[in-house]
Amino acid sequence: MKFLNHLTLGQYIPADSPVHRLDPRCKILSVVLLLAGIFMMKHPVAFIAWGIFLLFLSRFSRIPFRVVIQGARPVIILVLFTAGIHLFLTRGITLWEWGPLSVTKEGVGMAFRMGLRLSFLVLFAGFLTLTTSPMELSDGLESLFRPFQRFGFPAHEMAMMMTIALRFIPTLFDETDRILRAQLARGADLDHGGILRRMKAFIPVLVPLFVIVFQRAEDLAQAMEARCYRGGTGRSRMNPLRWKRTDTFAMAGTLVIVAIFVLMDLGA
Amino acid sequence: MFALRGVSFTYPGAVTPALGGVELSIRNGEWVALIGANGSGKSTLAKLFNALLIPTRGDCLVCGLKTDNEDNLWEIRRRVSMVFQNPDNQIVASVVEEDVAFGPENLGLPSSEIHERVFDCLCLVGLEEKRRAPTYALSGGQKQRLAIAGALAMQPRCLVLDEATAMLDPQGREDVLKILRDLHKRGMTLVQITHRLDEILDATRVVVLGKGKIAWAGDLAGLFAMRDCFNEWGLEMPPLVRFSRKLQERNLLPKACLPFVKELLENLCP
Repeated sequence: MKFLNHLTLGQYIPADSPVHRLDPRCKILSVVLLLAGIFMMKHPVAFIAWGIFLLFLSRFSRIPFRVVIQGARPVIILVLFTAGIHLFLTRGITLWEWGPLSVTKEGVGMAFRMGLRLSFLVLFAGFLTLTTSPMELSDGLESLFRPFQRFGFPAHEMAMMMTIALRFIPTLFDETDRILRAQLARGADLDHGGILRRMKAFIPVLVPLFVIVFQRAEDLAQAMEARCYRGGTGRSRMNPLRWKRTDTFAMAGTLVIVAIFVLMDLGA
Repeated sequence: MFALRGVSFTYPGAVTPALGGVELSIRNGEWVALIGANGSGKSTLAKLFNALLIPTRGDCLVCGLKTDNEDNLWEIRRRVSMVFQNPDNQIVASVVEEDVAFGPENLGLPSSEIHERVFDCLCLVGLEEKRRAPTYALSGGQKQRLAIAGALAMQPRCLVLDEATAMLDPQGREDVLKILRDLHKRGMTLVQITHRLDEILDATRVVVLGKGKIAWAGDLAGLFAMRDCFNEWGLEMPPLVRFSRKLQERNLLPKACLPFVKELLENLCP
């Protein structure tokens, strides 16, 4: 069994669904809208509504909900950390106190809201990478950022960098897993001791990992050069982006849903 | 196809050259096996063919185009495709068909032609059913076949394989060799770099590299006649060659018999 399995962060799951067929630009803009809406949510009713929408989206895009949840696993610590900070550092009516630490009524509400907000952010953003191949995603981003090229913004380079980063996530997890196993087989102790000791114990994992990453980067650059890659100039696309009527409907639908949720939240 | 005239190459910061005074010509349609021990300069030579490296001395000509002229790089790389040892380090996209399309997209071809090339190349390597599959889900052999499809999508005249079978299991190796036989039948020039002699039995010419120089060049029959030099070249004899040698030592096989399955069968079971 792998140590680092079930990690789907940034992974694309091919399927034949209406969400998969949407133009990547439509999906990127929709996610931005959804994320803006999530940032505004406050009321528990809104949380339930967003949760139901998440389930609906999972069904509509034919991505099992379990896979969507797995994608959020790597950020659980970040969510818990953020919730913890709000729980202990928000001032208000004290519910519990222990030394310098105190939990307030407002802190509990804030921790709950921030934890859920962050979780929803990650889960909704996850749909973008789960339903859009990195190449489509990079084409979409490049197209959206193209107007900024005249101000010197490297739209193509940024998009290609992101494609490659997403492509190599599973490979690097495999590599880390292999190094971890090799170091454990040699008697490395990665699970015991304080934080400092554990961080030190990870140095023999990180050093070979960095060496491998640089080696891979060098090899990949040569392989891309050998396939006539010379930046975005003169490149064509196998599937050129075409904005369809369904994309307009999807975009409008997202706008309406976000508006309803936000209004519902404000009303509540 | 290739003409190397007194080619030397020294890596930046290195004292000894990786290649020194190499003279070599490869004709269209040949299947040339470049063999040699580790550090003999095989991979350096392969990268010169694709203009990934430029000779520090001498001339390297690909289809008459000098590789040290930057204006020729595009045309050279269009005509000569490369497949590297580790398929994971040459796959750019996350979906099979998108990776094959990467090269033709760089050439700026129209969408319809890219689709056509992608489909043809995936059929050629037997991956047409995996066209929408994520690349991370492929086996090692399938990944290398995908890398070959990506190289072939450029419609090159020559394919240079730099130890392309080194990381594969026996089945994966055989699959790749089958594709190479097929490509050679279609008239493609192949330059196969390997240190496994059992993989070069289809080559029309063998070039042995040692310490950055051409130690020997000739056909397969000539190579196996030089078997006393194998140790000196740092090469290991394939089991079939060792077997036929043992038979010849015991006078069970004529000295002139070549160590190929067909010849051995003809002599042992007439």
